Amino acid sequence: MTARTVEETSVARAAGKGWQAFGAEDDHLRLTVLIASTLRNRGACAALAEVCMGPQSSWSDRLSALRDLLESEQAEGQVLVDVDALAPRFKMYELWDNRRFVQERRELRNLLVESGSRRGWTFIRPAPQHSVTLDLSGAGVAVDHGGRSPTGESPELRRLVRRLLEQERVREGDLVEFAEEAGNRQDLIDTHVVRRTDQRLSPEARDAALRLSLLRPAQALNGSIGIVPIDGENSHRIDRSSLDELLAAGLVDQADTTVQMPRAVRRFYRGLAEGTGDIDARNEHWWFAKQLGKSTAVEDRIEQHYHSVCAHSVEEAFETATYYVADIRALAVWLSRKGSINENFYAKAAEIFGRLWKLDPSDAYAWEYWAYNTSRSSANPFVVAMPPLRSKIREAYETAWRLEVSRAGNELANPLYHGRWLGFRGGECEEDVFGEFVASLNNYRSVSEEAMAWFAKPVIQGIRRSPSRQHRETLYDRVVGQFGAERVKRWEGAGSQSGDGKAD
Amino acid sequence: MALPDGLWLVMDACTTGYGQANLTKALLDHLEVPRLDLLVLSHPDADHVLGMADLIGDPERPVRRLWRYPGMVRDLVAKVTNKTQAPSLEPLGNALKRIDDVVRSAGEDFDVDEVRTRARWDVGDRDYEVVALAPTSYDAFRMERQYETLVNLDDPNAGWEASERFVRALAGERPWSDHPNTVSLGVSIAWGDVRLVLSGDIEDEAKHRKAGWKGVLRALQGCGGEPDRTYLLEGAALVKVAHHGSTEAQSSDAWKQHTASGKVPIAAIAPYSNSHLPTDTVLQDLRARAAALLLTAADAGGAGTRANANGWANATASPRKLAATAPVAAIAFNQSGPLSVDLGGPAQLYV
Repeated sequence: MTARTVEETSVARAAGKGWQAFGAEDDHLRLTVLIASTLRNRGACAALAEVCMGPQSSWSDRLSALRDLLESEQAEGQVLVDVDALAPRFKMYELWDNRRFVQERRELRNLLVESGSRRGWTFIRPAPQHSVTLDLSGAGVAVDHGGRSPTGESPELRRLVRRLLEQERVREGDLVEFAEEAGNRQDLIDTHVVRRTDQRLSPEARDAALRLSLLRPAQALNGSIGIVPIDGENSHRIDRSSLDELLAAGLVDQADTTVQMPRAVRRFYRGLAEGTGDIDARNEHWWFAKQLGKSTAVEDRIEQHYHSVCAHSVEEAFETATYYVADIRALAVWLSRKGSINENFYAKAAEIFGRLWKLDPSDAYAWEYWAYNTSRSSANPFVVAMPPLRSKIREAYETAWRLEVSRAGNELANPLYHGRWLGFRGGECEEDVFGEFVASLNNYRSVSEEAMAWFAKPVIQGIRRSPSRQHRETLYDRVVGQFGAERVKRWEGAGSQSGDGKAD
Repeated sequence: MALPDGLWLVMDACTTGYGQANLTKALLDHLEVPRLDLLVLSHPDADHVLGMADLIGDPERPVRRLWRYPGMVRDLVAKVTNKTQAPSLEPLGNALKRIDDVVRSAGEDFDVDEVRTRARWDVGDRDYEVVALAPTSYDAFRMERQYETLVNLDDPNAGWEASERFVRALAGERPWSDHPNTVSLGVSIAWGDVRLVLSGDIEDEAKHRKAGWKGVLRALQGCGGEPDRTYLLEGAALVKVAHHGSTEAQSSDAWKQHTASGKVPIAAIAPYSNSHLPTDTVLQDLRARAAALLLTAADAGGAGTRANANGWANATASPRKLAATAPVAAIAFNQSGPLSVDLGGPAQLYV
């Protein structure tokens, strides 16, 4: 039972043994599918694997089935590369709203660490995170810290730093000083190191790096990088000399017949690829999805789906959602967040969330944000207040909240969803929710001040959206009369991170 | 700057307007400068950058080495802003992109260093030194951290996206305060007894002891086992005043170092008319610290009038007038003997 470092990553990849996390939000679902698929092919229980891979399986069912699968002898001696990619990332809005993903990722990480430690897995850690080190230590997995280099970069970037220093493109003292300033912000150190390398890439190699950053897994190298030809007339996306330059710079790793961009490098270039317009990232994703559509391998189908989502091709995304729909939900979240800039995005987001709860009626998040985006897809509150639509939205908000309560077994599980439901009723539905508001707020007092604010803010905002001026002002005045203007104002301004106003 | 052995150094270059005359290039052409041995790109503000792309990409005058500011936040801002039709940053974005393209295409043709305090230009066995004063590692890090306020790297399907703060800035709802001066280079140049301090736009407004001029002084004082290098600021014959003479960039501590050895320098300022720089405060402060004041454009924003109002008198005897009408001043330093000053157009020397 050992945790090994980056030097062994390429060996493991070359051997084609084990799985690798990528650090994307779907990792927990993707890894579950891949592990189940592998174990099924080795003779483990097919029925359990089907649960893990079924598009309509709930997460708890998948996790339970995976736990049983990992007890089988076929699960012995595996390799998991970059378990640290499953470490939670800090996002304020995940506090209440999107915590389901965070929780699911944590549950999978815990399961893998526990099962792996019992089954003699090798954990290869190209970019260790402190929290995961603690988990591994706690589970009795031997952790080889390998010592932090004075320049502080992730192990997977050490080769890259060596080249920078050898070529005198950077002074070691500068890197050391930067690492001292960055402290424990590993991501900042890694970004800095990659950026320093990027500065001297040729324009062609840089374009190749931007395109490669859109691909997640290791790519077969045999005249092509996976599905991308690098020789001959069709090498317009990535050519051989650009690839050689990236390999020489240390921005891409090679293991026998495969190449892969390290996660820290991919993170940097992906950020640029998607945003600066240097390449048409959507079009690239669309092309990758199209090429991957020719394969039937589980890994390729997952990637085809991923690229369809990243291309924002909604129909293709649903068509390729063979194993799960988490990626599509992330797309809907993105559209919803853009709704404040362009109202049409609310409607598109609502359409996706609507399809998601039809696929999985237990998906509280989909119900909640179908209601949220539908209510905002029309600028005119009178349209939303029309009876048929109004009652559907009201019902959806309630369903979302009750699903959360049922999942947690606790009435106070999600003040935000509760607040939105009450806010909609007190606003567009013109109900007198004052008594219910006061009583519920009292209940949340036992949780925390923060929970009270998460509840109060959407209620007050909802009341303010009422199409009836008289109702709006009467109800609002009663709230102010009960709690005081200052407190109400504080709730209304409570953390813009509260998620209200954004479906994030 | 023509160094004593024939090497050439240029720090920053502007134009007279967007897409208009590049006076630095015109001067270099006039002097038939064959190459630029060190080109210093101090920081990504338009008044320092717009003329640089012409110099870097000039095939007739190769660049041997480029010193540039650290980070790329402003480059990204300018580039993205360009796409969103915000006109003020568009020329800057274009210039930065041109510079980036040239540097990337140059391959090994010339060296590029992202420098920090104490970085030294390796000039081999020569009797002078050129050393970077700023930015400190702390300021470089401060600027790099802004990258994460600009982009969201962790959203798997959105990928890059502008932060809310940045979107609001683009919409004109709030200022975008990325403070490019944070990473401004400063340079100290010395041969024999002659030292010049080119302060770029180093600021002194930040309270943190490791930021701006405070950080420069701290770093030069040799903390952490490094030798004391505060001599890089001392005994200056000429100080290019930081940030066009803004109050926020005027460091009393730095000026104490400049005059510590008893020498009193000439203070040189390139006025910035849009912001009415130099300020009265700085002009008054310099009156007590500098032997003379050189304004490259006394007519810019009433700078000359303000200099007079703050006790500076026009020098009448020593400076010679150049035939040029451009705002240009040429100063020749001699190891032994007086310096000579030649002024063109609206440039003016005060005593």
